[in-house]
Amino acid sequence: MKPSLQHRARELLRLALKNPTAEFHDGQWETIDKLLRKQAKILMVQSTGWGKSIVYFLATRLLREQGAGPTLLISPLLSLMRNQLQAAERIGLRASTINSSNRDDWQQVLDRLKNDDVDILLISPERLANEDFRRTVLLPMAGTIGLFVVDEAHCISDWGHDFRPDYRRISRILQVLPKNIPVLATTATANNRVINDIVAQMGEELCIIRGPLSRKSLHLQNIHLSSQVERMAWLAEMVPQLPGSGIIYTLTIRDAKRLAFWLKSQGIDAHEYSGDMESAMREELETKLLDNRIKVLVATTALGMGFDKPDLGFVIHFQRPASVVHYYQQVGRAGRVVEDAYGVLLCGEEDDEIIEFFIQTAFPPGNHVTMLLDALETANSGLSVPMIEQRLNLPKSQIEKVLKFLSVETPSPVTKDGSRWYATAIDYKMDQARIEQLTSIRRYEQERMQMYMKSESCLMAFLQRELDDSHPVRCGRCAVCIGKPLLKDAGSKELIKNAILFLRCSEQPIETRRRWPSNDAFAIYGWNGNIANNLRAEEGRVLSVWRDAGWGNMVAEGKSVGRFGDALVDGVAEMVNERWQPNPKPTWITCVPSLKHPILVPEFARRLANVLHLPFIECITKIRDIEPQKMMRNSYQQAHNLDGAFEIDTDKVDSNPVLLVDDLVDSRWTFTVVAALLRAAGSGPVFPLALADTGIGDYS
Amino acid sequence: MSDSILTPDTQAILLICGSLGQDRGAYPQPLTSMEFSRLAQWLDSRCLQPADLLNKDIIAGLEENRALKNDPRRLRALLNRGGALAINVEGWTNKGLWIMSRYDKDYPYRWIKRLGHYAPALVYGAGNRDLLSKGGLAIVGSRDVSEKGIAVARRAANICSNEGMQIISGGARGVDREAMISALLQGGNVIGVLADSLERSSFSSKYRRALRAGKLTLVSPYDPRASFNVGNAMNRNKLVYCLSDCALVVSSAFGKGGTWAGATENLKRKWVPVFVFEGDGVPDGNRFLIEEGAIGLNSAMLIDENVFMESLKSQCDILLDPEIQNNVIYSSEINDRDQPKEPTNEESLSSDIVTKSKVAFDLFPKVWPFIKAELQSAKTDRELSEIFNVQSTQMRAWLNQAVDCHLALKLKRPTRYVIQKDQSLLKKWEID
Repeated sequence: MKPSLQHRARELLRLALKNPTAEFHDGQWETIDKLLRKQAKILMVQSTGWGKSIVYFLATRLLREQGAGPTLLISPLLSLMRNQLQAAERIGLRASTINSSNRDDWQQVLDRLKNDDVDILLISPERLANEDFRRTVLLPMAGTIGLFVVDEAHCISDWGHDFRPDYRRISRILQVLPKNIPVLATTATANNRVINDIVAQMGEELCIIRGPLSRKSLHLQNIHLSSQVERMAWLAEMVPQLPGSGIIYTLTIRDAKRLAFWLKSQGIDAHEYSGDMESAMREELETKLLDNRIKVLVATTALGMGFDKPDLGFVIHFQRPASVVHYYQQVGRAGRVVEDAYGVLLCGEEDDEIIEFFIQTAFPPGNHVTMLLDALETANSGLSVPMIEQRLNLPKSQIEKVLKFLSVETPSPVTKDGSRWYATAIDYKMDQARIEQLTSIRRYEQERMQMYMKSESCLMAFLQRELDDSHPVRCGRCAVCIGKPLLKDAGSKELIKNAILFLRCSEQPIETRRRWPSNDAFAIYGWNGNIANNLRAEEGRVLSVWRDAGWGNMVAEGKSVGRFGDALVDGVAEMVNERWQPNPKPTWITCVPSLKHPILVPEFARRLANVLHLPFIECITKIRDIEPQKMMRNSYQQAHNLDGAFEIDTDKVDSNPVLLVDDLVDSRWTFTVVAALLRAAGSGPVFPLALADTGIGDYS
Repeated sequence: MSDSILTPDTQAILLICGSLGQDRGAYPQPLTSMEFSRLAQWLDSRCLQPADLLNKDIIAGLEENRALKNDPRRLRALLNRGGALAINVEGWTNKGLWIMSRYDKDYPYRWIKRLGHYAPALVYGAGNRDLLSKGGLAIVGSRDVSEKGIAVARRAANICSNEGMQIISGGARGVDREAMISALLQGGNVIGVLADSLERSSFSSKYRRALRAGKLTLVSPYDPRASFNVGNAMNRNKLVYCLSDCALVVSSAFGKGGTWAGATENLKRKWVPVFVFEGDGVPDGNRFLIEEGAIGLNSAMLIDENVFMESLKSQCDILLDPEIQNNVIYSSEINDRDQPKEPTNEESLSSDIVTKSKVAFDLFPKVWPFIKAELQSAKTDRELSEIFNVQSTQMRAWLNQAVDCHLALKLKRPTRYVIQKDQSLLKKWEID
């Protein structure tokens, strides 16, 4: 029985790879054999491209030939990569995907599952958390699953660099699997701590198969350029000189967008990539990169999991990642099939702040948890998220984060039934000790990353040691081994100037709000439902991001000394006249008043009006002091805070279009409310204009 | 980090008996309690445990046994449902629900004792499992009940709670819920045997706090998400009776309905003594039940707590003391046709009982009522061995067991045995 199974497996391998002389890599056959004969539970740690997917394709094929049911593949990928699909097809495997991006296909897939016409079903980890999905899609076929495969298994470990809450539930599912069902967990990046943690979670019988992680043709270099504009300049100059197509990683979506835009303005074929985008768009971009039809993708960590391009020419990090393992996972994608590939880490001044933000917001604070549980406890029929927003002064995103955090604890103090959340009968205490431990690990990893940046010995060996590679070897190719930079390490002055100018012209729209918040947020003003057309603000403009290298720094300075500089006035005027050109053209200017800083904004608005040759009319009064808007954490609270706060002097209002000026914009409620009041008092269209956007912004 | 959520035996039993979210009638059909019992006996006869079913070789052996009549493909298909089991179990434990099988030490002995092969192979539950072994008063009745009936249910529940006696009911609208909620408000312990929606009930606001505080246990033999089904509701009535020490029927229709069916079945099978409320304006079913052998309980008896408790105590059998249960495993208890092994000598028999290991069949619960009757007054072991015509070593063994279980007291000089007074025994029902 055994020789013929191996024979058959090799036959299938050669078919799948379209290579009549292919042989198994070390460990591939052993894994398949253990899965089939012993229903083993295996963790496979092998670098990208080694052939992990071949292992589970072959195992699936062989199991199916023995009459087993389909394989369930849990993976964050949107779908199998094209080359994987082709290999699968060649050995007659029918793969189907169910995730949030292909809802239209679900019924078809369900029908195929019922007819046993699916060999591999790919679902994303988030699906498992969805009760509806479990019941309607998963449970009907779960009774016949012949093999469980968990991709990116390092996500199971909270000690890992990329912990995902939904993976906690996956690990618990694996824990309660009876011993007659085989499991294959795969990852390309895991150090000993992560592996030990996974073993602790999944049980001692977990078998580990591990391979070396080095990259033969990858050249590494670290470059210190603290300001963003210096790094932008460097990229504009160097990217065209790098071989092939590659990836630039940023920490935030906002940076990805801006950087891509900047590079495009410098004539480079670049495009942003983030989790914010439609999956169809993401797939298209991935394909373009694979086919070398684009020079560079400027991406957040959303471009990571499973993406495999053997001829990736370069991986550049715009900002320092949170950990060395993280860094390796991203940079290690380059340098496989090509002769020369580059991995460059650009370190900047804002890195520490961003990483610190991530560390501090990784877990919800204890009082948020308490507030939420108290609110649910007093609700007899549960609460939906909007209802929670009404009761708690927390941002919606934070509420959802707390709910997610709590729902993956087992047993969980919360449960969802329909669209409402309920408190369960579980007596819950946050495990503060664990949270502190994890936070200190993250800080430790940050330190290791900083050590890497300053490393005076081989960079590749450093990475290997961090990943507990058993034989770290001096590579002889990195900037440290060679003793000098591989690529020049400063930006050209000309380009730096261009970058500053670019940022100074990168104003963003302030989008119009169309709906009042629910439930009488504006009891005094009496607004509810949709915002009437004749009360809506027009699309506005915000000049900069607080403290950025364009105007943002100047705005911050102005605010702290109590007067905005003239250069800002000129910059705004230029933006209005040359680029924005609001239509219909405003004939007068007014501003949002403040009781705390009564002079700052009006004084600026007056000077702006002067330069634009327009009258400045102060017609809005703040009639009561309110809590600072920045203390109001969700939409409902922000809006409600402004109820009845302003009054218009109707006599002064001009019936023509107007520019409404304020220094900062965050939730847009202030603009929305004041604009509505102006319109109600008879003004023409209102165009909001702010100097800076305060939000931390959307990180990744 | 991973406590074993399920013992391997329960895992196997869940695979073969649990619905695991499958539609009714879908293939493969899970085993019924009776089918499971037959399988368990086969395993027992080969010194195997349910967990061994996950071993491929064992299945092969099973398939050769024609006496079992199980379709071998069906059993294999059931055992392959590991994926469904894992996803279901993770979902339940995430919500704080637990699963027990007949093989678990917390499984209510009373069900095994009274229902035998029909004791549910699996129980899903929420809350404090310890309550399940402590018996109590079952209060049952129809969904539609008069104000007076509600008052009776509440009063009975309150008295019991004050006196430290648990209330057991079915969780249905009407009498069940009135009794349960009343008892909980009074600070008493409650067990609810649900016919449907265990999951939803576990986070409902009326039960949450009591579940958290360990004062309420909700159980069901049906899938935690099962929806209401008349057949299931009828079936669960017997579980309510069989978990208790005595029962009170507040209101019953005559000749139809779940309350009537449950009460008549209890009378027929003599599980527990049953009281039925009598008086002006009670439904017809009440009167007929009393004629059939139920004990009448009128309003007067509910006025004084002591009178009520005495009535209960005088009927309740304290045979099924929780301490005794731990000595017995389920399997051979059930089938009385299986003769316990003949002792080769007295020593080996007595040592079997005293060591409390896996005994094939423990006689002690059978003989205790007789011994108890004699121990109303203190006696020596010799006197008792003469009365019962057994060897004195055997008598001593039984008496020691009784003392271990706090059923009897051992007095000195001379060494004599006497029964524990009822009062202190009842105190065992009090909440910690």
